Amino acid sequence: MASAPVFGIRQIAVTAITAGLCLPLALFAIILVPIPGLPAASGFWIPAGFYFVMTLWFGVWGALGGHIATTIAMGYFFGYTLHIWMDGGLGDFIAPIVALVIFKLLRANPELKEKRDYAVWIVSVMIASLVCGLWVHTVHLLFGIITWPFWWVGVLTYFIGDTLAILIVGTPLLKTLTEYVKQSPMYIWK
Amino acid sequence: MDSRCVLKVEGLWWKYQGSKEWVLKDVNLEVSEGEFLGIVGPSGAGKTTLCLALTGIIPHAVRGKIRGRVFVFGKDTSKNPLHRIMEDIGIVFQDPDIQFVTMRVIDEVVFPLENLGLPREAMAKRAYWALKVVGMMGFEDKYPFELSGGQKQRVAIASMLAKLPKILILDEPTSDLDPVGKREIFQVLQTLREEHDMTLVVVEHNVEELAKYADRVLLLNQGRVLAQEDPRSLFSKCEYLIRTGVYPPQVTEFFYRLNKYRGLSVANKLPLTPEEAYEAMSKLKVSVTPPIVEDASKNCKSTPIISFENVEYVYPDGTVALRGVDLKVFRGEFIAIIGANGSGKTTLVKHMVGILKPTKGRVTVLGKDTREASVSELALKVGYVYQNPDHQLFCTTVYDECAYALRNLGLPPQEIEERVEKVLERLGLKEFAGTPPYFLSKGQRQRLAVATVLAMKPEVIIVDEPTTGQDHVQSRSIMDLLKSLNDEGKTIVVITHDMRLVAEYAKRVLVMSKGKIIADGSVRSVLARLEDLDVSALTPPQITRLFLKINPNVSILSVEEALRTVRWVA
Amino acid sequence: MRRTFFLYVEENSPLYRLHPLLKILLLLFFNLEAWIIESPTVLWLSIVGVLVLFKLAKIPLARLLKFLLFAAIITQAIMFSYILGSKIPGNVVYYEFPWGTYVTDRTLLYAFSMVGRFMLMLVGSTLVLAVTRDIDIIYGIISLKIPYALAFTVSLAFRFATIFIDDYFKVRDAMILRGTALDKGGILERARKYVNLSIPLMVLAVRRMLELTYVLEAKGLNLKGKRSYFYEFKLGSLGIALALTLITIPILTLFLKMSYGLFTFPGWPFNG
Repeated sequence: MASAPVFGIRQIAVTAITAGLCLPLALFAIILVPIPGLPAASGFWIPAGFYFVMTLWFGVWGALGGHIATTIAMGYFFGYTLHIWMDGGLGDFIAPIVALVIFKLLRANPELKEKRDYAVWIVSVMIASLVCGLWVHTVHLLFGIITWPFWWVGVLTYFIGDTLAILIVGTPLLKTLTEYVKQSPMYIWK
Repeated sequence: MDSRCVLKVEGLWWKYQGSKEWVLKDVNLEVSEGEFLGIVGPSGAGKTTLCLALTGIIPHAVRGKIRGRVFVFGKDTSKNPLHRIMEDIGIVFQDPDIQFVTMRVIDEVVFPLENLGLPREAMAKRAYWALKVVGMMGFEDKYPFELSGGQKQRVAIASMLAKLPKILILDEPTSDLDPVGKREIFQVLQTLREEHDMTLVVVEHNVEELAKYADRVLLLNQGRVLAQEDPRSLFSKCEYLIRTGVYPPQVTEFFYRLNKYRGLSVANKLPLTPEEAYEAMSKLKVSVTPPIVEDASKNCKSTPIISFENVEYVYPDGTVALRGVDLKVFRGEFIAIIGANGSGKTTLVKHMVGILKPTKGRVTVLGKDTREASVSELALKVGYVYQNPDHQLFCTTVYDECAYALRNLGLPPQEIEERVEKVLERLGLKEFAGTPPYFLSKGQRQRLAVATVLAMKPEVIIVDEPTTGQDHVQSRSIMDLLKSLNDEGKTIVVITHDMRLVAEYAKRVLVMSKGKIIADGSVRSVLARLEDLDVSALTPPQITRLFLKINPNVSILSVEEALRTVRWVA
Repeated sequence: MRRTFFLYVEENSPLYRLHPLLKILLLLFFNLEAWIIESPTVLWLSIVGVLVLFKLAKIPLARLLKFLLFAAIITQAIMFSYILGSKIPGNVVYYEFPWGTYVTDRTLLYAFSMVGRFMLMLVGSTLVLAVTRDIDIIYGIISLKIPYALAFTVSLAFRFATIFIDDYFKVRDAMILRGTALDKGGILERARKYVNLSIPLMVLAVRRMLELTYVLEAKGLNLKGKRSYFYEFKLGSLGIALALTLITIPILTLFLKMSYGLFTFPGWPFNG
């Protein structure tokens, strides 16, 4: 298990590069697959696949990078409002950390070598997406953007969209690149 | 220790964590105050690792195993905190983009000073001084995307200079730059040397510039120091250098072989520059016979396979990248496109593959107007290899990489297998078929990028700066491959800054400047008048310049040709 | 006009000269006020007020057109949600749905009010960011006593975003040149294509992470010891007064709302 994170140069590099990478991906995801009727949402949140994987490889700094990227990207289209920061921005910080915690607790291997690792990956993504969906739409509710009946609709669509995006984009990244990334001194698994 | 010794390396061994091989092996080195030390060696020799070790970044910020010691002004880098070592030393890396960590030129230059905790007034004074030294005054408020590669690299130097280091290390500072950028950097180094008496350690593949300025050159290969001598002594060992993977200056190599042919001692003082070579030539009793050559440029009788008719291209932000370009490319040509960054070279070739469509005018490729053809359609005919191979490798194995396009095009599996096997064999990548591309070395990735395009069997292959960041061996390997493809009938278009390779491989040269083609002709004729064109620091190779000076009607392209041209007067 | 970072507009007016801390407080001010206030009249009047500030700050209103499409999406989402999914009692019932919700005059007014909330946040934030440079963001964060490392990381993220945008286009073009039609096919098919795009981008990212650590070490990035700052922003007495005002007004608004029902939606609270 990695020691308590200290925000040093390496951590800055991980966070900044993750954010820098996910930002254009987030911008294009919103443009390419907006969801009519659901604010600031994309039917396929491509960057999630990236920052989830970055979080599994490099720890909470990957999640922080995802958070920065989402906040900036969503704000770029929808305005830099408190609402946008609280829903997508914070949601996309919490979700990958949830997945990381589950991975650590169940001692799965990000290289996805065994069926057990795959199972943990899928379950952690689903739980994380659900948590994120709940968070985002509760924030929507608090800001009066949606009403209660749409809370469930939003949570469900968010859960499905994010889960699919993360599994489709993230799984090949973990499977193919973890061996390469392991060489990096920033990799948190020993 | 000699009090004038500012850098000392004693028995240095270094191995990266997880690596089985030692990257540096028993390196011993001393650098005196005010000295200009050049470091040369083939790719993978350990040059960058040595630079990191000299600054203390190894071992402080990099995990691995170290033996031996490195001293900077008497301070052991392993035993002193990194920030103490970095007070006296600055380092500039190869990539101009990654070094620019803030969002404005002035912010970039003051950033290290803020980290040192200097007062505001001192920061301002040093920053403006540093910008003046590198010739970037007036650019303080510019954003990085408004600067060229050379300008960014100058800012990187200024950023280090502002710290007032006593030693400046530059790791391949001109690799990613165009001729303008390269010239600018060496001018700055000259200024630092002459006016500020700075100790410089410069890693370079561009030995011709290094030979002019360095006091001493260190030859590194496979982690070991093979030689440490003054440039003239080292570069005179031509055969040894070439065997090691380092090409000496052309004029040096020419005289070396000339002397050897005449049975003279090859250890005689050999020239390093065209000026010295001319002086030496004038003392020899030789005549120069113009080589008999065919004009292999345009074949006016055949139909062009690519043509540009008064093409203009304007980018969405209003930049006019191409202005009234007329061009015909004929089958079987080997064309080099040269020019400074921003001259329109890449824009021109992007029109050939259909990524860009002209704002005005027309581009036809194999008879088809590019505005009416899809990019995928054109891709079958015109292949494009990017400057950075990492931008075009997106599969999980080398095999899949070559098969990717063929699968997209719906070719039958058997044909795909046949083509891929053939192309991997040809490029020496067959043993890596199951390997992920990102595990390959840069040279291998470059070859793989060519392979992915070759598998599509295009008639035209466009290669964008294939030699950037490569050593001469790798550069020649790519160019030899392109030559063999050209011999088979493929039309080759290469964008490059390496004038030596242009002279030795291309048959036709296009010179671009500010969106226009300002010269178009055989390589011989264009190189002969290149300096007259006064275009952005483009100069012919050393050997060409030497012979043009001897006889302006004689345009020589390579050392071999020069040797054939020279006749002894009885 | 020169290309700038982010939403910044190169101009000169008093708003530009505000201390970075005040810019951040102003950003928070607009958002908090929008969140607290529910009265449609106050919200929409506030929006008009902000638009006047645009003019005073010499920022073209056309800057807001950028958000027009997505503002429309938000508006549509809000209206959709309230029309189909709320039970707000009103004077006139326009329609009752089989599942029990209904549309009244108050439904539409409330939805309009929520749109106003979002629009106030949007125009207020856009105004502030149009006068905020990257330096202001960093110095603003620092002046909130948030560690410099975080502020620098955000700045670095902006910087690297421009590099990765360039990489994205190059990789995408390379894929197109090898026969990939990225814009064709359903969501899942397009997702699969993006997987191929993700690999080189990720490899570039991981390589750059290590190089970046060397660069930051070389530049002596100092996170523990004392560091100085090149720019100086002074918060005079006027600035302090403004800061206190920006903090006090939302508190006051909330107090008045909770205690006296001011700034609420007419008829609030209601069942449903």
